[in-house]
Amino acid sequence: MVMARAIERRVWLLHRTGHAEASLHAGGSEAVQVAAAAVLRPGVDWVVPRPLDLALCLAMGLSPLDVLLAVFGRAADPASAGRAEPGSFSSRSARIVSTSAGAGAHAIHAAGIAYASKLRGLDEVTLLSTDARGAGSGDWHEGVNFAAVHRLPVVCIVIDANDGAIAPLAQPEADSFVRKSYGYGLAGAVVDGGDFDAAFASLNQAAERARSGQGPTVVHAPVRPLSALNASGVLQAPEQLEAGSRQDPIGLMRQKLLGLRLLDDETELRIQADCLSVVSQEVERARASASPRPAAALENVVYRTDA
Amino acid sequence: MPEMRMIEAVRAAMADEMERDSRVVVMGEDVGRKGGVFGATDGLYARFGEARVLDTPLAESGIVGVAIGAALNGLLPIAEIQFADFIHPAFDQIVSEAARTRYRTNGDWSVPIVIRTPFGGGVHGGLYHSQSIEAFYAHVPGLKVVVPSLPADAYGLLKSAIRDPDPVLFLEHKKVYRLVSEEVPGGDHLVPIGPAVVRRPGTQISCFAWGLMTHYCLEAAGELGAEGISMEVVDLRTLAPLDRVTILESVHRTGKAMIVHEDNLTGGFGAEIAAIISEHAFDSLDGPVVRVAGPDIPAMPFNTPQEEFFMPNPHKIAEAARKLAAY
Repeated sequence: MVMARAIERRVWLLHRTGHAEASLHAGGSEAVQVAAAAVLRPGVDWVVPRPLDLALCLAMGLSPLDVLLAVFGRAADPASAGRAEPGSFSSRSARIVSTSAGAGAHAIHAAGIAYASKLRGLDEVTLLSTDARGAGSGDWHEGVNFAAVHRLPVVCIVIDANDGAIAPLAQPEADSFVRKSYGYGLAGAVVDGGDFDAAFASLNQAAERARSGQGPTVVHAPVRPLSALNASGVLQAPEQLEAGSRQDPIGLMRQKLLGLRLLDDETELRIQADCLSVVSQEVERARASASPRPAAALENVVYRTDA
Repeated sequence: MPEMRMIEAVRAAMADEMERDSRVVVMGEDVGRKGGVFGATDGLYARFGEARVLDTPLAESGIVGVAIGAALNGLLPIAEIQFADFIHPAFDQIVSEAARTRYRTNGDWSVPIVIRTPFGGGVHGGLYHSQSIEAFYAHVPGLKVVVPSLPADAYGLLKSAIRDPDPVLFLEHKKVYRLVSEEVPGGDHLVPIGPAVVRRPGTQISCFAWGLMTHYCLEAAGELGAEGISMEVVDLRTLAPLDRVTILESVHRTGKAMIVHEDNLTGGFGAEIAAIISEHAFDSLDGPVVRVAGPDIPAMPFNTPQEEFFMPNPHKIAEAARKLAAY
């Protein structure tokens, strides 16, 4: 969580000062993302993420350098060699599936991946992550319906920043995704996406259901946006921002760990400093890394045996 | 060497590949118990079971999207879209996802799927069961577009498509399904994706076609031959990748070029072939590059007079060829 936040903030600064051409947005949803990773087995289970799932993808095996190479569009970017915009996380070895900018198009892929797991008799869970916009798309419903009909091992999180990025007429009610999941014959749950323990408990139950052949679960996880601008560039209301900062999932986790005496001030400062140090070091490595050759844009359109 | 019609050749190719490789699965509307509306998947459900021959909801984006996901996790899906006219809800999945995944990941992921769909008119399908869609998709890098016109090619090309590591759109002209039969080699008879074939050699005009139009061009060429006009007929078979070498060699030989397609004229795939000929065989040309195509109206009408007005046929093709020969 701390590393994701550190990367996001540094990239935001670099973007605002003209040193990077895009930024990443994840602030406020780190707890549910890391909770989702905690219930999965890296390299075994599948993740079909949103472009905002920086913490999730780090927890599943991407390194800070992997992410930063994509931010600067470098040739060594393992996700796409600098082709895809930052946030198009991908790693075949970590089973993080490349997704497009379409907010819901990947939902059907998750269903297909899980269908293959079931057909091949493989003990694999597929995590589908969308935001509330994506869960309003036709593709999300086609994917969830398919997963429901075949009782596929899928966990669908809807990470809902409720940040004004949805047209008012499409604004979901608090439990509407859960009610929709009941309509598809699925289990559903609403959980505070800022509360790691609550999210972990709910997602763990969903993953167990998936593994035991009981089919998909939709987990609706409202979170509080922390950025002044949301992912769509809409300015947040001051009171919304203030409420969000009071319930920053990293702050909540810190308080919980201090209360349990699992963390002390010194350790926390060291974690923060270590993350900042790694980010600084990896930003420099990524910036120093080579850009792709222009003509490399012609490569990997189709498979070539002579390539 | 059994004799087959195209519908049987398509079915045999799928069955043989499913037998050979357990990763091959079929999915689409009514492909299971019903065996497909044209019977292309007839018998596969009983032979391979419902898990590998999957009836899906009427949701084309979902059909292609599920195929993509299944391919990412190791299967080799064949997705059937019941009619090409209804493929458009899957446009985003085909263009932005299937065709772009290899590129988007610089080769880390690939999407080995086949999307089969019946296309074309002349069967009173009306506005929504007659469409030719090849121009939309042949425009998309990362996607292969195959259009067989004969049973043996359909068999060999479909097997190649199933084994191809990239997405292939496989267009089957519904009027050709039961139009002709021929001997189809079994076993590992593969026809490579890409090369065109000269169906009838000629010396005065090069005529390029695919699908049903190949048959109509051959009929026209026979008629013209009796009049002393020698027209070569080239069956392109694959539109993407396009066999530019065979096209240009033919034009260099004859000096005159005609492209025939059923899709409407403007922006049709014939325009691309005409441009290639203009750019690379200009010095060999002894007349304008001619296109015979459907008129620029939204779709093919249902009623007989207007359907016949829309469709290129051997008579229209021969008329255009006579004018070109006389140029």
